[in-house]
Amino acid sequence: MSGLLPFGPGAWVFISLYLLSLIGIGLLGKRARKENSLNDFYLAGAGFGAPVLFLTLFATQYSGNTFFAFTGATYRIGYAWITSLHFMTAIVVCYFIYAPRLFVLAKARNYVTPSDYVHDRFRNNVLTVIVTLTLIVVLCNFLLAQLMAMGRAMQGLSQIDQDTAYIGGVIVLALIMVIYGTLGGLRAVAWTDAIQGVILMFGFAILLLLLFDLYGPLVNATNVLMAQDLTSGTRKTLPPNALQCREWLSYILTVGFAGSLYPQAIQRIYAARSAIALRRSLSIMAFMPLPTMIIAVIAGIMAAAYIPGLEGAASDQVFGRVLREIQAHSTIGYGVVVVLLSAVLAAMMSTADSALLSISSMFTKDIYARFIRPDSSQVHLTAVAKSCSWITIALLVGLAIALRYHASLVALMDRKLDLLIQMVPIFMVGLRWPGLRAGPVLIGLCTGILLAMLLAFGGFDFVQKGKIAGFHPGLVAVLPNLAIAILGSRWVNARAT
Amino acid sequence: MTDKIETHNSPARWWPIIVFLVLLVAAVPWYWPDSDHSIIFGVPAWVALAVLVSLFASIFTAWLLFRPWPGESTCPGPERE
Repeated sequence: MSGLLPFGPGAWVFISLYLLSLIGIGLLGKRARKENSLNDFYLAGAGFGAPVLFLTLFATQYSGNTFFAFTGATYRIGYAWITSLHFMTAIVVCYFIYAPRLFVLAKARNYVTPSDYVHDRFRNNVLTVIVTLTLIVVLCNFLLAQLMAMGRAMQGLSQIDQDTAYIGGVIVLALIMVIYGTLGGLRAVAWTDAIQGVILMFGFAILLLLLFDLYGPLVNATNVLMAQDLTSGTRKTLPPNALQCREWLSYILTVGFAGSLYPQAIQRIYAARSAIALRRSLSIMAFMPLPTMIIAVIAGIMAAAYIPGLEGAASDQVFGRVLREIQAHSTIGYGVVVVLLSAVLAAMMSTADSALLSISSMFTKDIYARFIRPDSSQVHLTAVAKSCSWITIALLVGLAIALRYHASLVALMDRKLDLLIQMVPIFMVGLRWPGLRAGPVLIGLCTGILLAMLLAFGGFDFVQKGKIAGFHPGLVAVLPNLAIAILGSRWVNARAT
Repeated sequence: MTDKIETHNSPARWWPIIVFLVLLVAAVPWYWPDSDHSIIFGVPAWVALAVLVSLFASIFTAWLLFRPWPGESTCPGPERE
């Protein structure tokens, strides 16, 4: 968010009140609690109707940081980033593969975590532990990135010393988040998601109008970039070349399959009140990539045409530059930017709090209650879950502060999609084919994870910019994973008969 | 989570998969010529087509999701110990 004009005291009062109101929602969530149990704390009693379910899915899938990253990507590569539209739609398509069946099982078998399904379906402790630990690693990575984004956001917004702004921002925002998260559990998280979702949707709709008011029609920006393509050899308006086409395909498949398997998304499927509520919310989600991604792409195209010259890390902050121009353009623009940035900050927190809840649920239910204290009461487990949230956030806040000068290192270590896609056989095949067996699934999963990490970090010549001929390592590695799981299960079944 | 639930296969429906594969092939503009510089609705024509394909994918997905889900009661149950 660098490059913004300084906010006045009124703007800071608004942002502070908005963030503090989240704690009020946490208190309301606590008052609405029906029982002191893991099901109530992590799934809000599995009672979400379609509107809240849709808004919490929306706020979880679209982080505030998404708009900065996606506008920056469009700024760098041009219209080719319209592929974001496809891969965000692919996530909802992939929900269709497994969500209906998992929802029915979750209701019948009282699942709270993704590993509850894994344990129930395969009855293999080693597989359950490996899945749980992999998902916790993925979510810690995800949460760390969100905490660092919060710190950088505060650096961009405030005029004080950059280190103080970053450290203070991470600590204060994480503290607010963990307070309302531990007070109201998923109920509070989903309610804050709902408010942020509504503000983000309206805010970005107004932002689109202000963009056209500031820069004129989109065709002008397209013509500017097309002229650049013809004279300087850039490709910002040209269709993707062969390598980019392979990258498109890889993004659509990898983000689609992996993005639908985030533990917090799976837990929202469990939290639906009924199949009808889940169907309705997912049906609306299928259309959300269109407005959100198109606005991010238009902002990136406008910036590429009229704010040229940003490179490297600065290009990731181009959305902040666009907001600065809107801020300076009119009083309405200033007001909209204040509201939008409050919502963006809160959306980062809402994405992070969902991950935090999932981490504590998996540790409490899948590690502590299953292997350490199997005879624990629900009250004891809920207390352990809250302690786990505080300890996790304290550790990750420390890490976010320690690694604040190593953002590129954190980005390099970020292989969450490559890991998540390895869960495809377990969830997508396992829910559709009764013949899938635990042993081959376990061997396939370990092979997939090891191969994906080897390809990503092995330093091979054929791996360019983290991809193999344009394909993500995780997508390449899931092929042997699937082959071992399916062919191995057929072999095991053939031997058994 | 100790009781077993009904375990049997439901017939696979291939036609939605075929529709999604067709949409996937159409979504990636590998077939679009580099020399084309036409503009539709303010964006390059291939971008307008990508948005149109995405809109079709959204409508089709929403329609599939909104219908009663087949196989809701025929999920694979837990593996036998």
